[in-house]
Amino acid sequence: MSVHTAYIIDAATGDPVQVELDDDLTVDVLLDVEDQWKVPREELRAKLRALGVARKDWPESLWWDWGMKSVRLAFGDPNDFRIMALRRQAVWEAAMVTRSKNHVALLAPDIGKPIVYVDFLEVAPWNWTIDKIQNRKFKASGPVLLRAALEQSYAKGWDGRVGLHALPQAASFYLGQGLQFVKNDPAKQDLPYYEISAAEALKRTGRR
Amino acid sequence: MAHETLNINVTPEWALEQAKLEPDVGVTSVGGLAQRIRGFEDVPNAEQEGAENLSTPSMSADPRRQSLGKFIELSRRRMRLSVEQLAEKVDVDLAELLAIEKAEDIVPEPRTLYQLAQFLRMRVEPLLELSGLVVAKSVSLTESAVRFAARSEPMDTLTKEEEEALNWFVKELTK
Repeated sequence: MSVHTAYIIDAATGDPVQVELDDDLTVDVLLDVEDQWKVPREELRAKLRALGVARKDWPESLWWDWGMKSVRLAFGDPNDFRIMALRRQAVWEAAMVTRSKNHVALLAPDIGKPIVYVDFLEVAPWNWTIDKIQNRKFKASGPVLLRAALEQSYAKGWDGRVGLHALPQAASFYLGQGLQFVKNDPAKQDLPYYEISAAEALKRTGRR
Repeated sequence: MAHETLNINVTPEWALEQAKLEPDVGVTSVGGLAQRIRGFEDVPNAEQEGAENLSTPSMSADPRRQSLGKFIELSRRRMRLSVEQLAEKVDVDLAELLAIEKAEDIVPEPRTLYQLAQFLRMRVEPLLELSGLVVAKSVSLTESAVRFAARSEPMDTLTKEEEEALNWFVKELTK
């Protein structure tokens, strides 16, 4: 495991805040992530219920359970998945699981070439903006992790190519990060599939 | 398990730039823009529209697209910029910017809208919605777009009425 110094932004003050980016964590860390995020998620659910917000408008990842994800990963191929997360002191601000086997590019001109696939990427519940309930605490944690996925792709010699299926509410985020919509994927509950091309990755990482 | 060593250099400046680009309702929006991204099959293209449109893009009949064009045009003129100057400042393709302003039947690049939103210091979601890249359940924005498109005419300098219309539409987009 290696640890990098990175920065996220305090949404209230606009000031950069130093964090650690752990780029190769073990699955048990995700249990710790779930421990920290579970109660804030439950509190958000209670507020959404109290306000009478329709279920379809609830944050789509409100049902995620990183503990369950860790259990599934524990039985998976450790050469396939890689866990990364952002830590501010002892607090996990965002987490991501990438995979590097059996995923190929669907975007021309690199169709069929290997990509890093972002299996899960989520920021902590206090980093969500929810109308009438809360403003996010920190910004840029998602982009930092996505950047790490691009760097993983470069380290593998895959020219920064990265793909993922996004929850619909995250569409504008990924478009803003330079990913292109490829298709709605019937194999994944019709979720939209996005990919960042090698050319766009060059721009995003400042290599060009 | 032996993973590659990563070279990750995230500076405070880079993070600040990313924070500016990050949409406020991108993670979730409750009671606001409940978004779904349009599939390519929903977007009209030249093949579906016929060969004529390949050489002569038609003006979109969608009031949202027209109001997007008007909004960009009036915002640019208020800043006393030519189309070329704006394209250069926001680093977007001149032909695409012209097509957006003229509400031609093209699908803008998401990056272009992000660059424009950043330059205009506004959220990108309304621009994505007006462009048709994002389908939103915001009926009021459609109504506002229709009223805005009807209230502005292309002129060299902004008339008082255009200035008022633009100011009103900015409030509608940002509320």
